[in-house]
Amino acid sequence: MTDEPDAFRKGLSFAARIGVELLAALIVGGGLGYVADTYFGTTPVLISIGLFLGMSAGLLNVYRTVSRL
Amino acid sequence: MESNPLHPFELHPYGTLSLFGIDISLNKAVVMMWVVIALASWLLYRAGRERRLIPTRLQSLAELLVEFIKGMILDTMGEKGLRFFPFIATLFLFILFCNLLGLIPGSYTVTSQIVVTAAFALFVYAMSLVVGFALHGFRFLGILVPGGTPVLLLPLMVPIEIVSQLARPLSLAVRLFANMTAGHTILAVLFGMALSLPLWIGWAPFVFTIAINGLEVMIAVIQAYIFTILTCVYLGDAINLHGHAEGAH
Repeated sequence: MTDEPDAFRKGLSFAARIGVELLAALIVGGGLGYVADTYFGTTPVLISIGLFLGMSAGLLNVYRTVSRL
Repeated sequence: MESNPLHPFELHPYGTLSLFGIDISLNKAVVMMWVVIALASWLLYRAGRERRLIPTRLQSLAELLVEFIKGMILDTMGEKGLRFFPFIATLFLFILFCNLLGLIPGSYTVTSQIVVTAAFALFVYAMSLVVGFALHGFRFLGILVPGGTPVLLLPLMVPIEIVSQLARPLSLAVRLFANMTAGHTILAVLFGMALSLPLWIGWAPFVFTIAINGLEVMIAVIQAYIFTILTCVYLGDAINLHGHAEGAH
């Protein structure tokens, strides 16, 4: 493991990380919106906001991962 | 012949066993975790027992491993992170052994159960929260405000940060679970094809099975590495509040 070039290892782990990062934030945002919607009875409003927040959060996470490289 | 490729992931308890009304019946996954713990502890104990100046092969392997984990912690958390070394090393070894031993035909991949990976991820995340609040008190909530945010954008950035924080345990759990499950499902599908096709074409999926098994070994190591390094990153964020912003640029 340590014998491998550092850049290759980093690139590989980075590639395997990024997809789930986007998806997880979207699921969390949408999920929070959905739960809040069923609780307050404002069905289409909060889930839309939640999905947008989730997308932004996913992109932010990916951006952070990239700038950490 | 078993035709359902998801069959290997099913768990059946060996009889029922309960303690004070809590179901503690054993199944393949539990036994497999014991095997993993026993094997990892035994190997590491044997490697570290003699401490020769000129190390045996096992000892130098263990030394490489320790140096590797130490480097990972220093990269992401800095000097202060070294007190988490036992935890990080245990986590890495356990996941690595679970992934690798799961590749042996007939054994069970514990990390292909989302209960297991979610338990790890939630524990790691809760730990990073506890560490953050213990070290910084309520200033730790400042992690929700990225450095250099204009006040005008705060109502937008704080919810985004909350969502991105909450996505951490989910992505941690899903990544390991999905990679393991997907790999083993592909193996099962290909092997089912190899068994059900006539020999003149059935050898092709069989060759693929062998090739993908090699790929799975690599994925097992990489996923263990990713899980551990993300644990380091999350704990590092909790230890060095806003520290990564200066470190990255």
